[in-house]
Amino acid sequence: MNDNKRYKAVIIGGSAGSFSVVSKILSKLDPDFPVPVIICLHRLKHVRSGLVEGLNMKSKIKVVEPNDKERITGKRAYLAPSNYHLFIEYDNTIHLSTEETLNHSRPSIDYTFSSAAYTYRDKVLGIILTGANKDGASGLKDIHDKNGTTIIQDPDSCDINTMTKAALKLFEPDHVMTPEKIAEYLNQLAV
Amino acid sequence: MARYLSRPMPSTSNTDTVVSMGAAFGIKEVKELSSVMEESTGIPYGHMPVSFLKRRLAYIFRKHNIHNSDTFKQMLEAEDYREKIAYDFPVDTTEMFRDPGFWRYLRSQLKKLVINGSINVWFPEASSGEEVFSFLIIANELGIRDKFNIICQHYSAERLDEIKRGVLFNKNIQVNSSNYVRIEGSGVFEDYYALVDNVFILKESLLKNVQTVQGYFLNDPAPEDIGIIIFRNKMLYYDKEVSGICMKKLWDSLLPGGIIAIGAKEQIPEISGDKPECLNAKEKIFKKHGFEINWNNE
Repeated sequence: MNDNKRYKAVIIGGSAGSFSVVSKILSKLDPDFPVPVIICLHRLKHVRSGLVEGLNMKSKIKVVEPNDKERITGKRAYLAPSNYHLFIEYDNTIHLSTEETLNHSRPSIDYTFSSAAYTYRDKVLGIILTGANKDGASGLKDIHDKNGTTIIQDPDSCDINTMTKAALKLFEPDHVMTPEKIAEYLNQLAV
Repeated sequence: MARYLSRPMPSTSNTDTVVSMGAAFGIKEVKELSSVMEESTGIPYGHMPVSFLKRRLAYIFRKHNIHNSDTFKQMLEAEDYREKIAYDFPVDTTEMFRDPGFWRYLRSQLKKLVINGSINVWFPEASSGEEVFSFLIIANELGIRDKFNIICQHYSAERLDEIKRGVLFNKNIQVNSSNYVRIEGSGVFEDYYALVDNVFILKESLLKNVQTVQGYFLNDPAPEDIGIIIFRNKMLYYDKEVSGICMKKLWDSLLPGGIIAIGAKEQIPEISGDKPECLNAKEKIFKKHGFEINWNNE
């Protein structure tokens, strides 16, 4: 499959144990990685700082917590802010929202994945990582259903594999990979 | 009474086709419906993010058991149905003392206020009471509650009634309590409300000088002599054009020296003329130049 320059965004979702996995992936990315990376992690809502700074310590591309209505551009990673849902709007901007929690989560990974599926359709790559609840599984299926590409972290490599197993129950992903392989796969997109 | 305990969650479906109700919202349909809603209510639904409209419309259709757009459009012709939409469509404020750092900072500023007479505080789109009640509690703990006239505005009479009665949503009570601990309040949070008929109600004494105004703030004249405006996370639901209109209206209504607070992840639209002074970049609090509101540190 020639994925070069095909994608408009890479969306990564994760919960318990996913910080170190995301950090590892970002640390191995090509510094010129051209596709925007949008990250939705479950996080404590009253802790508004620290996560983005932590990711930036190792990331090869800049990680930001976007403001509402911010335009999405390449060579950049966008981390969903605490206590806001993150959606991707049809004009390729970030839409943040304080709507009700979904799956007891705000940000909800399902929301971010689903909005990416309906905005980018087959031009999005969705990745679900380790986590302790099912949030994200249904949204990743939306990406799958819209012919986007899906990657599920190998459950054997997860700290907690509830999230990845929930996704595997819903559909057959394009790839099941370890974090190392995910980073390698992404870098192929930068070639 | 039970409705406050059981307000349904907005749609958890974010799909183009809302299977559970057999209706499908394409972008064209969403735009058409929002345009009809805007025409019949004067509220700029057509300037809201499409994905947001889809979710809210799905929620409304499901809650009201509506199966097609034509029925919805017909129902909008009735005033009492428009009130139902006014009640159900807006997003509740998530919790009291959301962003505790904001409330700690605001409290530190209120402490510095020199108040001759009273100060008007405007909540222009008060969809639920959490922000208002949070303000009342910190003002009360500073011993200056009586110095503020609170003006809550919303287009839903029922939502205003809930604020006037001090209704707290039961599901948020634990979060409210945890946030109160984080703002390091000087009281005991549980002392500020009582359980009445299974609904948590804010203490009545806190609610004096709270005036409710039914109407949409962009369509109505602004209240006069406003010193403080709390407008957090409201522009999330408008496009850039209407966000700019909101900010201009609110800014123009502020007294010199007055402040406005927007959401931590909102961007302040450009304001022509007077450039806002940023008091706190993280908490997005901005001050209008001048001295009619005296913060004592100037």
